[in-house]
Amino acid sequence: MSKTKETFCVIDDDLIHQFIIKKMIAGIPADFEKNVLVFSNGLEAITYLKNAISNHDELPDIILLDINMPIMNGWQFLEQYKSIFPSLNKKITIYILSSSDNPHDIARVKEFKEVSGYFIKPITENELEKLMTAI
Amino acid sequence: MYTNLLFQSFFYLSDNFLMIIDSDGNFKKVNDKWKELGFSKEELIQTPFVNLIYPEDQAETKNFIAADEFSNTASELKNRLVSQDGDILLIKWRFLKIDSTEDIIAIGKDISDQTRQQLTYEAFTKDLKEKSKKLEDLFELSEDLIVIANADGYFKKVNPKWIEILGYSEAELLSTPFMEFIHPDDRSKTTTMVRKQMEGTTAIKFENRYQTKSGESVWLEWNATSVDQTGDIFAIARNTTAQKKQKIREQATLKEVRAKNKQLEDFAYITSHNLRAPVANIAMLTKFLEETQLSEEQEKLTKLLTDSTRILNQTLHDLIEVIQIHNKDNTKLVEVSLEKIVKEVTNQLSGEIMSSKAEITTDFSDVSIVRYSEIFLRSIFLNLISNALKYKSPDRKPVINITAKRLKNSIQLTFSDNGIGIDLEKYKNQVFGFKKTFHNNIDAKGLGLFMTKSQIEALNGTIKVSSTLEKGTKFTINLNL
Repeated sequence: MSKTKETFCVIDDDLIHQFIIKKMIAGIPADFEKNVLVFSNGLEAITYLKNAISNHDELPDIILLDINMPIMNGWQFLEQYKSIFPSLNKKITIYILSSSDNPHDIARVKEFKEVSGYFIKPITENELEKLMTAI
Repeated sequence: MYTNLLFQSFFYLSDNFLMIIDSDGNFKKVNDKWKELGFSKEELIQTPFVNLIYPEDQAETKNFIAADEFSNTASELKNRLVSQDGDILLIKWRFLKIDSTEDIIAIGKDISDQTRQQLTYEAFTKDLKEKSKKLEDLFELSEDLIVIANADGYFKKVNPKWIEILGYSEAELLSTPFMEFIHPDDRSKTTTMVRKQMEGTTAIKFENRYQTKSGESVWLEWNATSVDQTGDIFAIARNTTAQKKQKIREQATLKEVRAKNKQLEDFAYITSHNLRAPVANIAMLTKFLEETQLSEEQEKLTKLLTDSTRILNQTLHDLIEVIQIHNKDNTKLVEVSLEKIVKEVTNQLSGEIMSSKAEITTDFSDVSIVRYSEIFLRSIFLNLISNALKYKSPDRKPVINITAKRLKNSIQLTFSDNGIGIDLEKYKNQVFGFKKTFHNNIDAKGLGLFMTKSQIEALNGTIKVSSTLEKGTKFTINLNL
């Protein structure tokens, strides 16, 4: 059975980046419906996930997470995510998408088994397409 | 008759100089002792006694004999006799006049040895006094702190330097247990050291702090101490407070520099991050712009915008790499397969290799595995191979040859190409400089070779270049192992 819908979740405080990612995702040809959820910080995103915790349809398939954000940054989001992870009704793949190439950040990702990869901005359409089809 | 014989026997047996001289001072009779001077009896008889006297003593001797003060009782005289060989003997004489004949009888005792011993003793004492004075001066004037302490924990003797440095009077220093002058934090280790002293250890470079009367700490370095039979400790200490303070200042400076360095590194990361985010956005936005309907001029401008953004993005990336060169994780040594590195790098550059139809040959038959920083080695290969591709000659198919050879203390890697070459006459000192390019190549950022050199030197290696214009370039690298 092929999928009918794929939901992306972009967590980034940069409005231009939000616009770009939305446009890129929309531009990738696919034979299923593509949804994009956008949040400007970790708190907004974790609140949404908590509310939708058992609603399979409303949960995203892929999260693209920025690190440096106001209110709740990427690391803090991941800590919170760990606690809700067991009760999630869906397998969610998380990628870091940050403009930080600070090796401390890159190394720290390894502490979170919930994270599947680290991309440094800008992500290419090719890479994005691979993420999309890997699901 | 018998008396005469007896007298004769004594006369000859005596170990003293015996003589009878007439009132004019000429020898009338001598015993065998005189032979020791090298004169026979026959030579002496009838000659004046004073002839044998050391010149300086002759006048006194003549006067003594003339004074005739030994008529009734024996009288003493000291003078020096000179032997035939020139030896001088100091003699103590007793003279007595024999009334009936006016002859004078005299007994002379050789006191040379005795006197010499006396003189030696006096010289010795004098020398000792001088030495003692010198030691006293040393003690008084020494820049070091000299002390004698007893087993009860008191100073018995201190030199003036103690008074100068600690500010206590001599009386105070001698009447207080010395442990009380020591910084409380150093008392326990000092007690241990003193106990070891008692057991016969010699302290070398033992350091502790004393406190001055005004409460300041003074660092002392004890360089030699020993215990004599009485249990006293003799010790010499040097005041190292100035050096210590200097060292503490240096450490503080070093700490500050490290913190500043860390700050700069963080600053570079933050700047890079904050710049990269909008640069990434511009790159994407430009790409979107390319996909819209554009006039010919707009299209040209968009192309330039794309190029500039790409270079800007790459520069930011390179700057971070430069900062990371001395990062510990990067310099970790592991076993790396050269073949594997080449494969990875050629995969990464497959686009350029394909489009230029470049041929890359390797010879790792001598060395196939090296122990090196994997990150650096990959970066070195990537930079040198992409450099060779970048500066290929438009007239021929690029050929890049990479070899590895084991030398005595290093591994030598060579990268040779058949590209356009570098004018080394002109750019000799700039090949590995930061932001130096030698060609009007739009992609040339100049960071590559600077990075390569930095990465090699960070692990104590060297890199050299030789090149002929229009023939090619060869890089020779020595990796120290």
